[in-house]
Amino acid sequence: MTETYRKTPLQLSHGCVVMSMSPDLLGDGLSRMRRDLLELVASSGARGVVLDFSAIEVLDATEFAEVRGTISVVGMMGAKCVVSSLQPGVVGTLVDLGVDISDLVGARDLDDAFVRVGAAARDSVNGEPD
Amino acid sequence: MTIRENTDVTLTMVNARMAALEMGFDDPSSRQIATAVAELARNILKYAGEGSVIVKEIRRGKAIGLEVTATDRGPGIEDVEAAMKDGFSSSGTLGLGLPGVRRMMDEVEIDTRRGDGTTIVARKWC
Repeated sequence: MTETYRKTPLQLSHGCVVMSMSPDLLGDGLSRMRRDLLELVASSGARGVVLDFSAIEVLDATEFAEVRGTISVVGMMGAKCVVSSLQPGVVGTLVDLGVDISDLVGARDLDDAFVRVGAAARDSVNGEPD
Repeated sequence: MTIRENTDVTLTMVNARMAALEMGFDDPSSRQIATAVAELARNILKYAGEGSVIVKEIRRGKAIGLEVTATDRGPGIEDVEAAMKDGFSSSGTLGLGLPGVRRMMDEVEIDTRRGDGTTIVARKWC
């Protein structure tokens, strides 16, 4: 059977799953993308997921809610999720939209994201009782 | 531009940003316009199922601006005043995004009648 959709842009690097967010975030492929992401997190045993937003120029409140949903399910899989490379203009409009960004972990770029995922994983281990 | 599905929202949003940049809006303003357009288009999908969003250049005296007109034949907004407050929603957890639209645009006008649709006009000056 022919693959009708393009593949989900997922990569494994530094023990993390990196997902490149594409501008048609809410297109028909979203639920499949999320499923592919969770399957790779499970099969690879990755401790972290980095959502790479470098290609995203505009993010509306509905899309942001989907991102939050993805972050939540990644958390349910026991992995830490870091939001990487958000453009300043996008962050500005998130503030305008009045959405809650308080508990998200952000990173300047992919290098920074890997460091933060590592730090988050260590914190979570340290935070658990012996 | 007719709004019927999510890809229409994305396309309208991208076109609005391009139009804003071509008119001379700076980068942050063009993103605010695009985000506001996306919010209005998303509302059409969510509440009316179908509608249209028109983006055009306008002039008032020497001022140049961009005007967004979002029209649908949906159920209308029951309480406009409440819809303009942060956190208000009549469908699920997300609000209408209208307070955000008002913060990102300079002028917002809402014309709505219960059972007879909604027209929202939003303008931003260059």
